[in-house]
Amino acid sequence: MTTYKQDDPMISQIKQELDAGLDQLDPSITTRLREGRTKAMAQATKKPFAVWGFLRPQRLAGFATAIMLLILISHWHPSRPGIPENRIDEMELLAHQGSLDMYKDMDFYAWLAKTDATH
Amino acid sequence: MRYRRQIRLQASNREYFLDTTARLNLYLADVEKRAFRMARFAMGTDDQALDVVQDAMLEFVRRYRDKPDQEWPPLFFKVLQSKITDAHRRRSVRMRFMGWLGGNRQDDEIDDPFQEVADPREETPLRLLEQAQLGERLERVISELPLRQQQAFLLRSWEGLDVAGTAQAMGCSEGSVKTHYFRAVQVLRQKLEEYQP
Repeated sequence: MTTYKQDDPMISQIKQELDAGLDQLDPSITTRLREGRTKAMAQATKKPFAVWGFLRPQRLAGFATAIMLLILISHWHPSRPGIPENRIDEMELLAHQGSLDMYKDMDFYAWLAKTDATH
Repeated sequence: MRYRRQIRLQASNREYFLDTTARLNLYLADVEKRAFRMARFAMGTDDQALDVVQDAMLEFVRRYRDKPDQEWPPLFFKVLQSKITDAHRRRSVRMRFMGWLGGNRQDDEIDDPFQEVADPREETPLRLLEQAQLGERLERVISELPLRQQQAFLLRSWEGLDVAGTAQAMGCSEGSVKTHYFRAVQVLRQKLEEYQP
């Protein structure tokens, strides 16, 4: 098999023609090529994920705030609806061992206690 | 190579400390037009060629940006040729599928690129005379070469890769590179006979 050398006149001529063709490329093509390269290079400038990059002060502050909020929410119990005071009195009366009739004559017992105190 | 000359030029202007990103950008800027022309020869349309080159640049940067500069040319063209081959395969499958469905082929579509025979269309002397410029004729002849011959010829003769680098870029043995290159030059010599110095 005959081998062809790179300095073959025909190959040199072809190479010249191919090089000349590069200068005649449509400007829209060169623009799109540049855009494609820019896109590829943008990828090159992206830094890989790093722990120190991730732990930036702003992110740390954000995390701390979020954790504080979480703790507050988990420990905060909204106050249960209170039982009105008069209801407590009524419950005490009902729970008392004594007769309820006594309370009907409460005014009499109050007068009696006052009278005893004066005498 | 051109890229190395540019690096030296930068050095002579006292810009000694180009970081990897700047050097990568410089390399791609130097090679992008030739890459486009190679893809254009293989794909047949500007849009497809531009897509292939952009994909190649993205993948090259993603995978090989940390490799030493001197390894970039064969690696870049390895990625480019891989993208071209993939695009050819996808197109072949699509064409077969369209053939089964009875779809019409478009004029700019090309047959299976892996066939190892050159385009059988013969040029008439009259038509040859009509091809006034060598550039146009050359583009046509290179486009008609089988893909592997086209790759071997362009990488060796135009890009200036050595046999080992071309083999790495094409993903084949050095012997295959020599065979493809030899056949390509034979076809070019035959078809460009009237333009030979």
